[in-house]
Amino acid sequence: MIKLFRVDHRLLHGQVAFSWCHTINANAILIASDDVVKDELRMATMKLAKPNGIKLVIKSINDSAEAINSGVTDKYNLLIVVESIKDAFELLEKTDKIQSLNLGGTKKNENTESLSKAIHVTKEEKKILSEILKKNVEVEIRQVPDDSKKIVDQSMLID
Amino acid sequence: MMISDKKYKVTRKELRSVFWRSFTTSHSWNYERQQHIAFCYSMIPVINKLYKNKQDRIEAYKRHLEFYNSQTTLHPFIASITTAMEEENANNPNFDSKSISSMKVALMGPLAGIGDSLIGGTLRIIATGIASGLCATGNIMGPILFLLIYNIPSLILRYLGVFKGYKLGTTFMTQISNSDVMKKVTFATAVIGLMVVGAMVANLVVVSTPITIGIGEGKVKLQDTLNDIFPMLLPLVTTGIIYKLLKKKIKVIYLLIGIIIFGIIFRALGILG
Amino acid sequence: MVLQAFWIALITFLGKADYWLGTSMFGRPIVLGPLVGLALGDLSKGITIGLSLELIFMGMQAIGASIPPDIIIGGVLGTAFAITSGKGAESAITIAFPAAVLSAFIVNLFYGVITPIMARWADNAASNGNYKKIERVHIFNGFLFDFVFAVLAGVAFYVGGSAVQSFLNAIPDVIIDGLQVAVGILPALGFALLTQMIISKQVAVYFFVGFLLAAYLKIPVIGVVAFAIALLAIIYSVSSFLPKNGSLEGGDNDDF
Repeated sequence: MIKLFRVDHRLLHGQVAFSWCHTINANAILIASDDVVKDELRMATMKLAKPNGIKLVIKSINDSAEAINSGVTDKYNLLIVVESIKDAFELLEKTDKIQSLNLGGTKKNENTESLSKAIHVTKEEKKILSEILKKNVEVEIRQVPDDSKKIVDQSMLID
Repeated sequence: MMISDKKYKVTRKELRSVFWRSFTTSHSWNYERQQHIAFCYSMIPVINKLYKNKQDRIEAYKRHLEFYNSQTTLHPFIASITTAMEEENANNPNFDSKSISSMKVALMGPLAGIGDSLIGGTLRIIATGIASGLCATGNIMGPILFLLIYNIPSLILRYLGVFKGYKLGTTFMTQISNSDVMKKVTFATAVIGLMVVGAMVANLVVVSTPITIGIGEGKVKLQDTLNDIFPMLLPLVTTGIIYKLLKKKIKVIYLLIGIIIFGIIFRALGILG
Repeated sequence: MVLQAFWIALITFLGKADYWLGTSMFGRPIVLGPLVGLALGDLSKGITIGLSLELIFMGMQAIGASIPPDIIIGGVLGTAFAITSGKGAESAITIAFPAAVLSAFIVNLFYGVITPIMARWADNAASNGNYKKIERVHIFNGFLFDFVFAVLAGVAFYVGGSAVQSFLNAIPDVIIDGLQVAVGILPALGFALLTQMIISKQVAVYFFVGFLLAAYLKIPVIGVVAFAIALLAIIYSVSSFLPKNGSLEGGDNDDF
């Protein structure tokens, strides 16, 4: 079953690889990204960083949705990671088996405002999050498992 | 491939600068872009050598002020691969400079994961474990040994990183990834690391009981009996209980407070002490 | 007293400036404890308290970008007050934790507000091609950070001495004794956290091997490391391949 669906601009790194995998007892990680599947180097480095004993699969967003919908992933304790809120939305549009979205880390720039220490969103992204909420998908912010869930609701997404 | 008749080239001098400057990785850390200032700082000598045009330099400085975070020991490695790419960029007008940024992104996350667990984690554990015996007796060699055991391998990795990264470039990463090397290294360090932690549990976790059983001549100290059956049983059991609680996702801060309260109560009850 | 406060400040500065020096673990309690001990005239106590604090703080490292309690301040002030009050590791902890937690707020102030503001100056400098200014921002910001904590620690030590003494004296024995027990148990928390990071089904047994070597055969940690290396050599010569991975590994992209 899908144990965690996370947005993290750094994809597979220390926190995600170790703390989260341990906390949710993950035995498989799915990286859903159209960009990464095309990038040999990125795939190679991610394979290096994956924790021992945990399966790592990198697929495009379409292929990821297909795999989830087909039930092939049900037997794993699955951690799904996407790079951006936009990618998360795309995946959520293609499968309804995901009930909750964890916002772990997004980049800051001049056009973003902060929803928390590590989550910075543009106006576009706020709209997308609002759409996600409308799908009855829980949206929560936690960088590390020890943090307490900060639930995102519509009121936080108004301009 | 590095061709020796390139117009703009980086020399050992710049690589040495990168080596020294990359010690400052976590200086100026911030939530926004984390180690970015330090990374740029470490690239400045390279940028200045390769680009004479002010506009090119400006672009390069900005490029390296983007978000950056990785394990500090691997900073020289990432910086030197970046250097190789910047060199390519300076000489080849058709080179897409965006690929430099995406290469950094590709490397920094996974290398941080590996670095944090192997160096910040296992190596540090081993150094602490070995030093602990000497420290416990107040011997100054303890802390000195700690620093040596941690830093000698660390410095070697930094040094190799800055020179290998530049020579081997990104193909090195793909080669390593496709080979068995990482698996073997992870396995070996896990074995050593766990054995060290296991030994430390036996040596450094102090849990014993003052309980005596029986009266008069037949009095027996429970702790002595335990020691005869299974030395260090209590430390092992205690660690095991805490480990199980952690797996149940009890937060670290609660466990901390819990242990303190537990200590006070059980000592007062005469069960531990 | 002022001289001692000055040393405390200097040691704190070194601990924080570890970030300039390659994060070479100069900021760990196991290193700063002895330095504090040296400054306050009891080197061996500094070493042993440094070790106690190190073991307790050991598992609480920064993972990725999350910011843990400030163990540099905790380590320095905890050791310092334990030595000056003539008490033991349980007093060191009593001071170290609150100090580390409070200090983390100021660390966050830098990481969240002050440094990002200075980062803008670096951005502007970059837009003008002024690399020397970028360098200056980097150097200045970091050392300002180090300096602020050095001053805080020095002042806290100077001003806090008698207050801390009375506080520690006022703690009832039942709590002090309890804390002594807790100090013995707390390293287990760190060890459990570390074990969690490293462990997997194939290597779990080695934890027990290390434990048994130390508990039964009384082999010191360095001996255990030697044993581990010998064990690995045997494993590699017996099987030229790694231990079999769990059935879930196989080729990564198979079945889904």
